[in-house]
Amino acid sequence: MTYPSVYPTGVTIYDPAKCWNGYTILQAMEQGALLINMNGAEVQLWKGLHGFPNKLLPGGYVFGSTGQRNPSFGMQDQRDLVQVDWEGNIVWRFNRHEYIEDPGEAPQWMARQHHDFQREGNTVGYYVPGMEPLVDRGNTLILCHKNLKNPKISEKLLLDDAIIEVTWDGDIVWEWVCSDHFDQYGFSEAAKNILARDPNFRPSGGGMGDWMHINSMSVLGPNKWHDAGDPRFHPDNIIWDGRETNIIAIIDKKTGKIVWKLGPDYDSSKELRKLGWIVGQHHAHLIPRGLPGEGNILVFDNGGWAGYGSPNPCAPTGIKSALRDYSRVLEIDPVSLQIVWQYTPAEAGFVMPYDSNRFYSPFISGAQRLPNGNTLITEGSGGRLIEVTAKHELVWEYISPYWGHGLNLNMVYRSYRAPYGWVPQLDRPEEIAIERIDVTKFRVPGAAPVGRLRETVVEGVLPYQGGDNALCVGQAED
Amino acid sequence: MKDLDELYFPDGILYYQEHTWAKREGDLVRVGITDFAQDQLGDIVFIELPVSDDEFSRDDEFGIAESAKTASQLFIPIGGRIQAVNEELEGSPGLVNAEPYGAGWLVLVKPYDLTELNSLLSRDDYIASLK
Amino acid sequence: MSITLFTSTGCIRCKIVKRFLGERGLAYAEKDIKAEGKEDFQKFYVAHRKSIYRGQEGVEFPLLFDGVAIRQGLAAVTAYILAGKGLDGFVSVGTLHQEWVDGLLVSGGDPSRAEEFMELLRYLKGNNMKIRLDTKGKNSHILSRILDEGLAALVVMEVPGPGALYRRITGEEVDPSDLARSIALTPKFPQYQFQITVAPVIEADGTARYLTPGEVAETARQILEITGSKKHPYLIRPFKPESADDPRLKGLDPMAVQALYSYRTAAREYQVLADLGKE
Repeated sequence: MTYPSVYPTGVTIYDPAKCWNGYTILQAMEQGALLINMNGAEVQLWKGLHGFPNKLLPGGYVFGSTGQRNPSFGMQDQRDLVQVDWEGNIVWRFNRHEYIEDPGEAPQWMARQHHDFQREGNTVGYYVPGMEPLVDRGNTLILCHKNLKNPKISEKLLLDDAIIEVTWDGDIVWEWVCSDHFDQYGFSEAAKNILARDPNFRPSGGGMGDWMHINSMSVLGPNKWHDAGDPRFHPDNIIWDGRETNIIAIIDKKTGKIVWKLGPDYDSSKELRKLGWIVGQHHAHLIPRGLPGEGNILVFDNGGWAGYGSPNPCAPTGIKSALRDYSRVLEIDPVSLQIVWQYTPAEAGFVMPYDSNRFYSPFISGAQRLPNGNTLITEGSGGRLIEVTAKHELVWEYISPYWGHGLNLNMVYRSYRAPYGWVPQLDRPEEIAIERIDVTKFRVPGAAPVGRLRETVVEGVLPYQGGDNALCVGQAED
Repeated sequence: MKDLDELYFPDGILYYQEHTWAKREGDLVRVGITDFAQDQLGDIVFIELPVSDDEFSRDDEFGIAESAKTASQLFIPIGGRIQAVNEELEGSPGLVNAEPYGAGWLVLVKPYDLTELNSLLSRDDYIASLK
Repeated sequence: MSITLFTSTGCIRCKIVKRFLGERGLAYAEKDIKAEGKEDFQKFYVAHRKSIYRGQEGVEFPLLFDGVAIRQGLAAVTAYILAGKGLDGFVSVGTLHQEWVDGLLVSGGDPSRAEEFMELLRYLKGNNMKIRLDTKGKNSHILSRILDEGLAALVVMEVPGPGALYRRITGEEVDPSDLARSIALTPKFPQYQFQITVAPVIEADGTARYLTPGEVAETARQILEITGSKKHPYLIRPFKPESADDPRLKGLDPMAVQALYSYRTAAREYQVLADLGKE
């Protein structure tokens, strides 16, 4: 995507009257868990606290982890999940999922947590009126890793995904393992073939296949579908999505079985073809009761490269066989599969397909529905957080100013907006509007000012032709 | 085991998803297992069947067929009362393998509701279900 | 007494048994159930159906019948040929196939028949079979000899519970030092696993209750104490009331999988690799 070399960071657009105002929590690259206000002031940094992601809790608590396992031996394994208070004290910790002895490292218990977790009281890990997460008790659902072999999938060692439920005291009281349900995912023969050869093999620990790569996990909670008698949407059921397979699925908490699913392929019915391929997606969840759009699925459909299928010119072996160079945020009715609302390059004001990749994060990212109907979108690869109204107006934008040294990205995995009331330690901040700069007139110091030094009229020239038929590449509909 | 195109599925009878067949004979229905089922079982060494006057609802288990390889429950395609049981099978269960639609029939049923036959599968639909 | 051996065409285990019979000069009638023995097997099956073992892959072959006893599977048939009922207790019908032989319980048989048991294992190993042995702790001296001769590829030791509860779980007495020696020997085999079934304990008043997480943890601690390591594969398995002979146990409600997690948490204090068995 076209990015200028020089551009402002921090908050660049802010309309306080149209925003759902509050604090935003994000993991700032190699800094820690960062809490900012609507003007981008960094009101708190929990320095060095990792987070995959960080989530704020009422009372000024934050979730995070104290570190990642050495990537030579594990992939994206957070060694624990911790709840930290405003002063930096760890008030709750879980790590007793697996005893790890890596060469040259201290033997220790690890949670092997990655990508998501949910505390009892709230289904999705973000603010919902009337659905406060518990802070001094309750169970926590944790998405973690487990290494195993499953010959149905591949002869290679797998980095499988598991969901565990742990009590406040750290007892594991429920567990679900992704590969146990391989037969229910509906992979084509082509997909199974390439999965067997290459289950997304990554080098950590001598090599392991990150075949599904679940990156979000949340509870359905009470919803209209279950109220109407559809057992697939039982409030205790869990929805997750797998980035490598393009699957979004709901599992029955009692049996572990898949009861609802999108993907891995999106061409087998009229409804799916109309929905279009969801590729490499993140943060699929059911909008909870109490928020506009409740009962619909909200997902950041990254595009990028994902899926297992037949070889094609861009995927010579068939791994990462679905490709798209722009992202979509979709709100989907899970029964009719209709798109109820979306934010794509078109709604963002970019000319599709020519300029589609201006709204594009091929990995990470997320979307949070806010109580006033706005949506907070994390366009993660470029560290861009935006708030858009239901009518797609951009009312807040923040660009992370933190690039990593280990990784030259200012990426933000996922951010969340929380009400001011969740941080009683601070006074309500001032909200100062930031008008959108007219970029055609904005110049950096030293550059020539706007305006031409000379203008010459040429007789007989015609006006410029408009319309996209003038370009050498066609539209998708052509 | 045979390929699908090597198996035999006659016309003139109806088929049930649990691999039994039903043939109307006046107000009675004769029931057996399909060629697919007997082929899957292999050489049948024992068949346990109900006795006359036993009663079943559709889809009830009405017997077991056993081979060296496997034991398979038998599910009745139509509800009713058992009028007759194929006594030959006690000494010669292999008849089911040799003539699944003929001498290897299993039971004769007096149905409660003949319209249940309407929801059974045609030959073509049953074959399609096996693919 | 005449021996009838039911076999199946191409069955390698059947060939091993036939060779064993031949080496002993024992006459037998072979009935290949896929060939000329089909009808004979059908008649035999009908007559003895309730006594014939059927595993997940069907009736287990080879099947030996001498007019008195039926024996099935490579190990059980060979043991019967070798020693009649003398090795009962050591041997049962196995469930593994291909190159593996199981159904061999070191602790289950009469220790005075150890020599014959060793001969059985040597014969099986000599026919390129990989042997899986099970033990519940008794007969550690036999286990030791098996280790010395390199006869077993895999040993699975079920430690039924804390030593004090052994009798109330298994219905048998055990010499604690015998149990401890078996625990110490198990990790020395090429592949091994410790396991515990969350089994019922018969109380003094005759009622039954399940082992507690604390008792499972105590068993794990016992393994740590004896072996000095907390990194043994340690499987925690649910008890199946329907498979019990004792009516007091048959009537118990099966434990839900969710209930087993607290056992795993407790056991992981002492055996960090503790995990749940699926069956």
